[in-house]
Amino acid sequence: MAKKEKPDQFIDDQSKRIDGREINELREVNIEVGVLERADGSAYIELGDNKIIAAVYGPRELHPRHLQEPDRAIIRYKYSMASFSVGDRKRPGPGRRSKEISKVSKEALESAIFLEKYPKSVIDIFVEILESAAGTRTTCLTAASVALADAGIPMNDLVVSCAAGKVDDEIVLDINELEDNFGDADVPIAMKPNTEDITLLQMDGDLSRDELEKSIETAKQGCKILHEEQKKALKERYGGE
Amino acid sequence: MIDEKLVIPGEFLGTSEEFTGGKGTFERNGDVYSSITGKVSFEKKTRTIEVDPVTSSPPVPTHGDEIIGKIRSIKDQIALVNIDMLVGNEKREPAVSEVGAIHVSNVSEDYIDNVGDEFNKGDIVKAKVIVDKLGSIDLTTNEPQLGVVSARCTKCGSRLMKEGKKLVCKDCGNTENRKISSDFGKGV
Repeated sequence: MAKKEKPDQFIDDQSKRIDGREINELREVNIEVGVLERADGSAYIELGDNKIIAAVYGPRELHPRHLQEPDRAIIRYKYSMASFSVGDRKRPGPGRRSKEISKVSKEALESAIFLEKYPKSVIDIFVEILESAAGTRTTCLTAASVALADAGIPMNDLVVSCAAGKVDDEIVLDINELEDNFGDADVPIAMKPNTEDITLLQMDGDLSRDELEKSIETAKQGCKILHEEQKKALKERYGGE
Repeated sequence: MIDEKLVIPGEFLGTSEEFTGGKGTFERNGDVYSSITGKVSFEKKTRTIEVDPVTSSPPVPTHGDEIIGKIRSIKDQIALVNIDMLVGNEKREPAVSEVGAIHVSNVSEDYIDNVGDEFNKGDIVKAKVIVDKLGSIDLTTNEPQLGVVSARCTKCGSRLMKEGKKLVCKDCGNTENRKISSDFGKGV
């Protein structure tokens, strides 16, 4: 695949970004609920060029038994990128990157689910990235929490996730592929929209304290927009207003 | 009115002065929220607010539910059953990790000396939950539709057929005794 070049400027004179978005504008989102026949809960999300399927199975019996927790369920979260999801072929299977993302994503969801209702069980969450264009870990989380709601698993809130980044000394919402590759920083966050509790916070790149705070604030605004989309998708599927 | 409204997890329903939260809800800082996707139902008399799920829900066997499972081990007094399916909720795996137990006294109307006389390891049984305490699920087969629904011959391993009140092996002619369900051989 042809190498993408770093653009001369990320934000033009009309303060538009390279893909024509405003500084605090999300890419186009579309969420669909209940796309998989055999899964207990599932969701499909498109955010810009990202295309992701999330599937939830369980709560179900956990084997091997030494992994069981006597007082609560555990979550297994598998973040996986299809070999054809990126420009150059990605070697399939778990790697250092996807294992780490799975771990932090699992922890981001844990606090939202009433795990104590299903002792000794496991809730399996699989997210498969069919096409990736920056911000997959956040998009996966957004889809996974919709899939959990579709599976009827009790939660104290949905989890929404979104990233902010820094390009040309400007904090922008939901960075795209070029901004991710050649930009200065990337701050993905996940939060529970009703309480604004942050359940995931990462930072890649250099930011001053003020810039980090501004990034979190920007990403929170993006999360709120995505939460409306989650709501819309669930209500569309189950026929409310 | 809040009644019949479709809500999603984390949606605000009302304060706890207004409502008592029932199924599908939880309380935080004196407010009642929904914990699942469903329709709100409000009971005026008791001022209880509940959310009835519109999604499928994790099947948890409770008192009175019929389950289908495989006998995993036999002791003198007790047969242990892996709970594999909840009758009426065939599409989802049951959300339990406990094994069910059938005590001799709950096998059938008749006096039984030994659970091994009526069940064998590997039999598929239909049973009813009578106690669902945390950590133990007690089952009974003391009803006509409950009991063994599928079994294999202990001698040759081929499928047993029902003949009168006994099970007969068509291959080796062996006859075996079981607490047979009226649904025997009708498939699960």
